[in-house]
Amino acid sequence: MDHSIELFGKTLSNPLMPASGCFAFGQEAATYQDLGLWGALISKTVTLEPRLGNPPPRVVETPSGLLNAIGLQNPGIDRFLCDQLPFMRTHHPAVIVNIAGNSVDDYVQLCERLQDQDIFAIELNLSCPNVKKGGMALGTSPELIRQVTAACKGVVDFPLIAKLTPNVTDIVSCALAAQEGGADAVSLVNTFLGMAIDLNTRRPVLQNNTGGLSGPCIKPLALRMVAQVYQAVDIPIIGLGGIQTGRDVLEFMLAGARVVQIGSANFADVHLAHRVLEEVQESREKLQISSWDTWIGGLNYWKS
Amino acid sequence: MKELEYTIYLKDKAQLSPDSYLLKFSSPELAGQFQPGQFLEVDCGGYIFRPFGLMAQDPDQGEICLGVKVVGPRSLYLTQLSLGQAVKVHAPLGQGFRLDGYEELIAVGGGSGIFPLYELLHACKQQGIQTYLICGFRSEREAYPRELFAPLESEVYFSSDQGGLDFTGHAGACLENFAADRSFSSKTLLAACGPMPLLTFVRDFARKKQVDCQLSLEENMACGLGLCAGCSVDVRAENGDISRVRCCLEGPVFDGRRLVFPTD
Repeated sequence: MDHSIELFGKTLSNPLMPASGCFAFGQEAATYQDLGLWGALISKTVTLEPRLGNPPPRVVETPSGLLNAIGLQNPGIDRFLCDQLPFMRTHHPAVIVNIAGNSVDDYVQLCERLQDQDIFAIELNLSCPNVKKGGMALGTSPELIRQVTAACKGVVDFPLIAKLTPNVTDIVSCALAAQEGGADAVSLVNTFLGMAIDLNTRRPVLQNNTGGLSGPCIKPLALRMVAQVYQAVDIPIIGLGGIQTGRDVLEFMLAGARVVQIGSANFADVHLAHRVLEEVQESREKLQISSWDTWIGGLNYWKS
Repeated sequence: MKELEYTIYLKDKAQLSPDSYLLKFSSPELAGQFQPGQFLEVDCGGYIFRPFGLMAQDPDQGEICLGVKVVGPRSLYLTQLSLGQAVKVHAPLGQGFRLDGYEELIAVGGGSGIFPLYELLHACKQQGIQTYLICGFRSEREAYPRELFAPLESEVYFSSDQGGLDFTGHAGACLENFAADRSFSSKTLLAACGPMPLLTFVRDFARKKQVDCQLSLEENMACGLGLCAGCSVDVRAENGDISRVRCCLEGPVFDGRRLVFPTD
């Protein structure tokens, strides 16, 4: 069965992408899996300057989930362009670069640096909960989402994806702001702000005190948001949040996601893309899903 | 491309102390693949896998051993597996100990940190490297059976702050006592694994005595594969620059004298 899907006028072999921050820059995974199995690759977040991220501990398992506060550790745009992007490009025709900055100007400068590169799209990280400036600090204001997106749109020809935070009162107004700013797609959701506590030390487990929660525990929350946003925006949605299986992928697509990202589930399965694609195949046969077009957003709501 | 996913089967289980167990798994594919100090990410019934240093491997029997201290629900899950039960793992992972050129090894382990040193001492025995092992326990009650170490043909010292063993004091103090009337050469390697205060002590001791030192670190890990950067540690290069590297990929065994700890 053909799982290919159109996004931004290009045909991807399937709707699966690794979520930013859970796949580094692909070099490690390439030692044990075929990166070509993914529909597209996405880089870990890149910033203008190198960042060391937060002090450890930075990760802790919670019930059906993972709490992290890495803090955007990355080598900076200069080294990314030299060391990481060429590797990603030789391993995949569709590379999405995820970027973050402290200000609107940082995002614009990063876009300018990427303008001449052979990439598929840019994903704006407007949603990292683990940094003091930028990230979620920008992404909780619809007006700032619109400003960043519009400013970036002004300097690049690539499709722009706005990655949104779920830590807001109204995700729909955030998605609409991105669309108004010229975003070609929205990805939702990034992690939920959370905390884990160590009774022995009477301290939060993570030295950042709070962290971003991912994993199957957030899947119902993410599905609800994808479904809500689908009913409000015209641009494609990239769905993510707790996806582990082929059935999860089909649920997100039925809720309205055109493609999906899979994040921390990669940690417990070195052959995740291969397995999930097999599961998608199996479920599509069983559910007789012959084309994606009739499936995406095809959720049949109960009438209240 | 390398295969990292394996299924191992619990073959035998023995209790070593009130909270620690020796788990023997059948795994003909993995037995013999590990460098001492390398680790496995083990499916412990949760969302993410958990890291465990390899304790022993026997290619002839097709067996690998893990030492597991029960510290929470995930380690408890492992010790409660029934015989024959399948467990998914990612292995072998990380960079292990490097033994090239050494003629003498002094290993210092604190509690469950002794387990990864076990395979190191076994490798030394095979390579004809003379070994000494200092095992630190909280109390006599928590000490592992001495017979466990007999096959290593090593000189083994048990220490505890609370007395009742070979040396009264923590494992670092035992090391100092052991080293008091000895001289070290460039052919001596000091290795350690255990709690942060012990590793800090051993690192500082190695710097003072100018002896080579390799430390195996334990950090919270999410992937063990180099994907998430959750387990970063700081390493000082020769030019003084500090770089933040992944414990799971660049470690868990590091040149101890270069490590920079959060408490420094």
